[in-house]
Formats: sequence, C-alpha cells, structure tokens
Amino acid sequence: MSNYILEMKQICKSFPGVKALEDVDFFVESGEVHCLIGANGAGKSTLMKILSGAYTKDSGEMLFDGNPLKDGNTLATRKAGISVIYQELSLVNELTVTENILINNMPKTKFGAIDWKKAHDLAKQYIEMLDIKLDPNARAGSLSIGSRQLVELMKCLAADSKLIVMDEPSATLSKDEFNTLMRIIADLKKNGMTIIYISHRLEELFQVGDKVTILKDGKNVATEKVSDLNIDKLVEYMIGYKMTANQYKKAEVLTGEDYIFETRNFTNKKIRDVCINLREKEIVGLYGLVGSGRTELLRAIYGVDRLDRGELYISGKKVQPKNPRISIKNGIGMLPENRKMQGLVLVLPVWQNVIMVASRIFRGKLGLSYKRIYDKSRDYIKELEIKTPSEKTPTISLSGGNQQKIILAKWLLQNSKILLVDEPTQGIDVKAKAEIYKILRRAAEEGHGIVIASSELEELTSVCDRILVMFQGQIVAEFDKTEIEEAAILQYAVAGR
Amino acid sequence: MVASLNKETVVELIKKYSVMLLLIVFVIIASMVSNSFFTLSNFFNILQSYAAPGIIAIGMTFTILSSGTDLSVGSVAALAGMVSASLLAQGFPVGISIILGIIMGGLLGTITGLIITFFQLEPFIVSLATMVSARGLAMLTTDGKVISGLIKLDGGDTFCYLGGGSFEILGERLPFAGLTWVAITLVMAYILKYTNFGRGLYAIGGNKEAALLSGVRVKLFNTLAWTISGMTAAYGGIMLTSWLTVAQPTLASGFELDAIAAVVIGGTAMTGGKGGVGGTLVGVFILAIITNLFNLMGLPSYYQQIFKGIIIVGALLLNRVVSINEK
Repeated sequence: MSNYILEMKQICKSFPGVKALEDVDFFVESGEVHCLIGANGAGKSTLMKILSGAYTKDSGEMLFDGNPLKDGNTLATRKAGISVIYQELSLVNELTVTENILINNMPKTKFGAIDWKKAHDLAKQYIEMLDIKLDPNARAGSLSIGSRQLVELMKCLAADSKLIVMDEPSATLSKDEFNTLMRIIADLKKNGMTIIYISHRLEELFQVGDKVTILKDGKNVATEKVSDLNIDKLVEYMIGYKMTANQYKKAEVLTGEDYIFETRNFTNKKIRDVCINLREKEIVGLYGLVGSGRTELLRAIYGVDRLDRGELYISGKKVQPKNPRISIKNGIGMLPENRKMQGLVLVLPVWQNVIMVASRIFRGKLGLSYKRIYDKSRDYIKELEIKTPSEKTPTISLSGGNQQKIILAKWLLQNSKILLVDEPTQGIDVKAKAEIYKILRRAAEEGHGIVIASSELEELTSVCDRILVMFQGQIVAEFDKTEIEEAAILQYAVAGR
Repeated sequence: MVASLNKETVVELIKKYSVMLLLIVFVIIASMVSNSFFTLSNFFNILQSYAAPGIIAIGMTFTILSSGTDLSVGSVAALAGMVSASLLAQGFPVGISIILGIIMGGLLGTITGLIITFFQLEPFIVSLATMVSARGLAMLTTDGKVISGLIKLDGGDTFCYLGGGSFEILGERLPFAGLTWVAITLVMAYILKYTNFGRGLYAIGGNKEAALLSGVRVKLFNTLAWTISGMTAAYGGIMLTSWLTVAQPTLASGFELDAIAAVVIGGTAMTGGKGGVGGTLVGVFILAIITNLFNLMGLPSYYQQIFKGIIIVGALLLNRVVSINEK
C-alpha cells in the first residue's frame, strides 16, 4: 500500500509523573534519511527506545516492513533488521575491527570453528564498501571515536539491517570525521538503506536529511520535507513560537565586590570563552541541550577537568582551579551529575557520606568524635527530611531523592559558599524534587551562591534568579528573573541565537 | 512496633558480628572435640604461633580496604628479617637493626603504593613484582644462606625476646609476640575508626571517584595503606625471625595467601570499603583454631588444607547472605 518501511502509530508512553509520548505518529519511508529532532525531554530517546525494544509502549501500533514488531524485545527487533547506534558505542575495545563487525555473525568452517580467512575477507569487503581506510586487525579501543562509529556502522551492515538509527552521531566527531560520515550516509542511502538520524545540530539536518520529524513535549509537531524548511522554521516547531530577532543581548559580565565568584574566558576542549558570575544569595541556572557544555563547565570550575585558558576569581581574588581539594578550600562544592558513581560512596553508611568533606571538624583530642558525628548527621536527616531508618544505614539502600539530599547535606555541612549543582533532580520523583528545590532556595537565602546546570527548563525557571543559556560550549544568552521567557530560552539553546 | 524493632536490632547485631559468631561456633566445636583445646596454655600457644601472620594480615586489611591486594607481604617479611638479622650480626645495636628492618619494609610498601596510585596500575600485578624482587633481595643479603645463632649475638637476647619472649600470668607463659599482635590490632583499629586517614581509606575503597570529588587525599591515603602493609609485614618477619632465632631468606613464603584468607574470612570485602582489622583478628583466630584442632586430633595437615578452603568459601557466603538485604 505505502512504501513506509516503519510505521509507528499513536504511540503512548508514560513514566511515573510524566507523559513522555502522547499519540505520536512516526512514519519512515524506505530508503530515506529521516531526521528526528526535539529539545531535551521532547521524547526522542523514549521513542527510539520503544522502537529498539528497550522500553515497552503503553499503547499504539508498530509495523516494520508491514509486519507488526514485537514489543519490548530487543533481540526480535534486531532480527527484524533494525539496528541502533547509541552515542556510547557498544564495541568491545579489546577485540579487533573484524571481530567487532562480525561479532554476532562470525563465519564458521564446516567443523564449527571460526573461519578467520573468510572473516577477514568479509571485514575487508565492508571496509571497501564504505571506502574508508581502516586496518581490520586493529583493536577497536585503539581507534578514534569517528572510526569506532564506522565500525559500529559496519556491524549493522553485517547484521543485515534494513533500518539504522543513529543517535547523535556527530556530537563527538571532528570536522573531517563528520564529512566522512556524511558521505557514507549518502552512499548507504543510494544502496537503499533507511536511516533515522537524531541530532541537536540543526545545520546538519539540511546536509543529511530528506525528511524531518520534530517532537515537542512528547508530541509529533510536524513531519516535513527538509527542502521545505529552513532553520528558523525548524526552531519555531521545536519551541512552539515564532523565532524572534535577537532581542536579548548577551549581558556584559560585570566585575565587582558583590560577586563571590567569577570565571573569565574559561576555555578547554568542550567550552569556549565562558564568562559567568555569581552573587551572594543568588541561584544561577545553566540551560543547554545535551552536549552543550554545561557539565563540562562545572567540572572545569571545580578543577576536575583541565582548562586551556581562563581565570577564576573567588570574591575578587584570583585562584587556580587545580583540583577538587583546592576548590573545596576555596569554598566551592560540587554535586555531580552522576549521583551514584561520583557523588556518593554507596557501600558506606549515611553518616560517613555526610561528613566526607567536612570530617576534620569532628576531630577531637582522641580522634573523630562519633557522638558529634552521629548527632550532626541526625540533625541533617531531620532538617533535610532524609528518609532513612538511621544514620548508620548503608547509602545504597536509600532512594535517589534521599541520596541527593545526603550529597546536599555534605556540602551544607562543609558550608561551601559556592555550590555547583549538576542535574540535581534527574530520576527523582516529583515530591523529592520539590523538597530539593526548597533546600537549594533556603541555602541561597542563607548566603550560598548556587549554579544549577540542568536540561529541564521548568526546573530552572522555578528556582533560578538568572538563567544562562549554553550552546556549543558558549554562553549565548542571559535572562534575568524578570525577563525569563521559556520560548526565547529554548530558541537560544536550540539555535544559538 | 517494639517487637519488630527488637527483631531488627537482633538482625543488625547478627550481621555485624557474624564473623564473631562463626568463631564462637568453632571454639565450641573445638572444645567438644578436644579436652586440651579450651585451656589458657593452648590459647597462649595460639597467640604465640599466629602473632606474625596476624600482624601481617593487619597490613593486608589496609590494602584490601583500599581495594588492592598486597601479594608482597611474605617476601617483604623475609627481607626485613634478613636485613635486621644481618645488621645485628654486623654489630649494629638491636634497636637500630629492628627499626631499619621496619623502615625497609615501609619503603618497599611505599614504592609499591606510589607506582599503583600514580600510574594507576593493577595492585595485584605491581605487588606481585614487589613480591618477586623482595624475595630476590632477601636471598641476595646472604647469598641465600641462613643466619643462625642470633641469640648469641650482642643484643641477641633482646632481639629474640620480640618473637619468643614471654612472661608469667595466671600460671602460664603469656607470649610477648601475642601481646604485640593484639596491641597493634588495637592501634590500627583506632586509626581506621578515629582518623580522617582511616575513614578516607574506606571512601577510597568504596568509590575512588566520589572520594576524589569530595576532596579526600586519594593518592596520599592510598599510598599510605601500602606503606603500612609494608611495615607490618616487615615487623611480622622480624618477629618470626626472632622467634625462630634463625634468619632465613625463604621465610614466610605463602604467607600472603593466608593473610588474604584471614582478611576475607574476617569480613573485609575484596572490592574495598568494607571491613576492618577487628574482623581480621577473628579471621586469623578461625584459621588458627582449624589448624590447632586438627593438630590436637592428630590428623594429617592435608585435611586442614581441605577444610581451610571450605571455610574461606563458607565465610564469603556468610558475608554475602548477611549483606544481601542491604541491596
């Protein structure tokens, strides 16, 4: 009837507290490059995870090649001919290119052993097919990100995929690597491959795509031919408003006594000439799409990532962001993006995580005073309403929201003047979210200056005094509390202007 | 409510002292099997025989807590014994000889620790290298020969008191070595619990990155754990040499495995961040009782080895079971 290779009809998916997808129609024609775009939380990942079988849909219908796709079954999806290349690639670093390409389809001899000669020939064929330079015997781990991505692509080809989903393939590529990728995508298309291309970078879509579907707040806003669109129109779809001219100028970074913290021209691989400042009792939001450099900026300020250039001033005094220890001494604290991996020692009890930074204040004549430690931990458990059976409970057994509160307690105890907060409420339920905002607000009132990086705009508009927008490693706009306008912020985050 | 709370406390207590319970079970079994087991003299006997391995296991606890394993302890013990004995034989005062031996061990541990922390190499392999080299060094000190008759040297009396001396208490001879073992355990338990270094070690073992981001001195503390392991290994070796009154370069071979076993039985997690030296003390006792019991029963040592293996796995399983509902 139609030449749609993939038909996703009326797809709905809810998570506790959020409607991630609402009656989304998504049709992909055979042999086209179909781009999928949308701001943070628009539902791109959810939709693709439903396609790949990682999630099950609540309702709706999925047809691939005219046949219904099994729900929530990644293996069946792959067998049907759908491959997904995720941003964090899934190669085995210790294996060679050949082994990675053929990982599920190693040719066998008639005795059942691996036919290495045939395997190498096959791998060479794929490499020639893409017309690239690559040693089939090289270890995957020794390759550049761009080459690894191509190996991943060949893996999809070897698996006889008919549809390849590429999730943000360009985010980590160099200019040359990107051009190679563009050429290969064009070649594949010529050979009849269908590709779904997900990206934040709007210019790319015009280079690579035939059609584009725009998601916003879990709904399909539009599916159009790329040739009928321009960037302004695209941004309009993404943010739901007409793109307006540059009415918000980038604010001048002021220096002065009342700034407790200031960065000048912070530059490294991921960020460029970032100047931000912070007043006492102020909460500044850092908004940007995934990969815009939010996390990297906080890490650079905290001294985890190296700076190529830039200066940091604390209360007007120049300091070196060399390592976390020094930053802590300078009065900076960080609540990292990944709570479990970077924020907490999960096997240890609550009290020890609470005192991890400020443990020296419990030192008495005879070593650490446990009475004071337990008392103080209980104070924080009560004050921040941390739900735990006791201060001696292992942190691992608490919920995400309570774990985040423990990290907050850690820095409040240290009384760090400046708090860098990265995605404070990711994966946390609505009630705990509100409580965490309350704690942050109260901390600000008590004199802390806080920077919150987040991919949730509503979160920032509700707690921040000021919002800075990041785009491709730079601050592109600044909005004061009085002028906060979601559409404009989104526009800057998506289009950079 | 009260009943359920009590039940929870009981569960907590069982969890916390599961190793202790295991020890008690073994003591009861041993007492029933042999009349001569539950006597003060046998207890002192165990203290004497297991003081050196016990002290070595204390240092091992530190490295395992920081999520490494020190394979070099046996070789370092032998080297320190040889160094101290040679110095004594060359006329150095006994105090200096002993202290230089300990410093030697601390130095080797520090070097191992520095290589591990600064180059981020696998502790298992780096300490394996130290193990091989230290054994070679121990052989080199005397060209592989033993140094005998230590007790006859100047200061030899004092030197030999360290590992073989005892004083009378309740009509039995309490070994000085055993007393040292318990004393060092107490000091180290204090360090682990009451200092920022100690607590930092748990943080490093539990999650190095989180510890680093919280400003814990990861490199310094991690290296110090290896320094301590080197020093306790050295002291254990010197004590063993002193007890035997003969210094031999082949001393304490295989001790690293017993030490690891004791630490693990004592409830310290190989992944780091969990456990302590108190548990290790109990772990050594459990291993000691098994040997002691089999000796008292006059069974060949092959049975001991088989049974020890079973106990190691059993203790691991026990730890697993008691920590399962934390997840």
